[in-house]
Amino acid sequence: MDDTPSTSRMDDVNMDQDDPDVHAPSTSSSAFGQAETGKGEKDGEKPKENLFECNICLDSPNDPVVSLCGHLFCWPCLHGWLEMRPEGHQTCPVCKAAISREKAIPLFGRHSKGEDPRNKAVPPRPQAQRTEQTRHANFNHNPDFTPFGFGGGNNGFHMTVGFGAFPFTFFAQTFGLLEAAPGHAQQGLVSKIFLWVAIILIFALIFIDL
Amino acid sequence: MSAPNMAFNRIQRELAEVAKASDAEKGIVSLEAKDGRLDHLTGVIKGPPSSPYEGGTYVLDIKIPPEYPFKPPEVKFATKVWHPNVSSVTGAICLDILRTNWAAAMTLRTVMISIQALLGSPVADDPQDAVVASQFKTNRSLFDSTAKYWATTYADAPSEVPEMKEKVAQMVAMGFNESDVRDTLSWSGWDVAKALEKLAPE
Ligand SMILES: [Zn+2]
Ligand SMILES: [Zn+2]
Repeated sequence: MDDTPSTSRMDDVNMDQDDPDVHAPSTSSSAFGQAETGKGEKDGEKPKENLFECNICLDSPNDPVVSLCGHLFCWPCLHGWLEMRPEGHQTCPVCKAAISREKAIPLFGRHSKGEDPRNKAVPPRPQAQRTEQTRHANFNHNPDFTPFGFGGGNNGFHMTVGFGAFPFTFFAQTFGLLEAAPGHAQQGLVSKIFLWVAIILIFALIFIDL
Repeated sequence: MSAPNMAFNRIQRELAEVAKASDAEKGIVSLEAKDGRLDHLTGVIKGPPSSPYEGGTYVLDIKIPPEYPFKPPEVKFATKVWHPNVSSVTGAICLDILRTNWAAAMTLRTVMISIQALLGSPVADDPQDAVVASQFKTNRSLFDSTAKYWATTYADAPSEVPEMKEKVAQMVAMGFNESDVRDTLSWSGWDVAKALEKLAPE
């Protein structure tokens, strides 16, 4: 198929659809481009609705991800699209830039904290790419949980259970010298177990001394 | 959400969008669900200006697969049209975005705009109808007037093509079916003798 002429047509159409406010997409090649400009007032009425709609379902995005080319999708929608294409031939549904699961960045809004999409029935979003520096700002989850304690850095934030520094770390945590990371259910449980072990130890030490 | 539900939700949004948009001036006349069914729609577009289709009104038959928008809609002309990329028999359209170049972010509105653009700029090297495409390449003026005649006859375009009308009337007077006469004359390059041969062999 000769796609040269039709591809240019399609691009015009896409630009128009993508962000109607920015380009009055000089569809110069086609005879009806000039009519395109009449759209402005319509979009002005509900600008927020139009800016952040998923490019596939046209609804407000559910588990939003953004492609490297900047196009917004629900993760389930983008996943559905990627599934239709063989790997290596996956393109952005809006601009046709190369795209892949790894290159989709999840977006976490203010209220998205509790909703880990990986626990849902829908296909999981790709993980955010976090660096060491941003780590202690991200309380969401801590998948790289290590059994040996290491200090979280300057602010005394402690990421791990603290087997290594036991019993000091345990005391520190128990008495609030070091702050435990919130949202760690396992850590809470382990702390409770150690609390009892430590109490027994303390009593043992006291009675041995006596 | 199941796939057909996603397709239906999207179609509903698209219908609302087309209804509120001021697309009429661009040549999209309407997009409606057929008998209230969201998997079978009817789109209406205008023939583009400065083309043989100018002033014509073209009805598109649009079927929505359950996998929409991951798969493209199936679109064909319900109105007969003489165009290299449209079958003069079935109305099937050869357009890359309806096949391999479909993208899930495209909508029925963008599809209709693309089809209207295709009417205005045929791609003879990628034909759907070989007879029409070869005429487009070899005898452009005959192509233009045939396209115009079909636009007048089938799409209510205002322009008249008197010579062709006359030839049709002449053969209809011989007792042939009018629409068969139109097709056969068009396919024979308006050579009455050739058309007669095809319509009444021996
Ligand atoms: Zn979506
Ligand atoms: Zn893109």
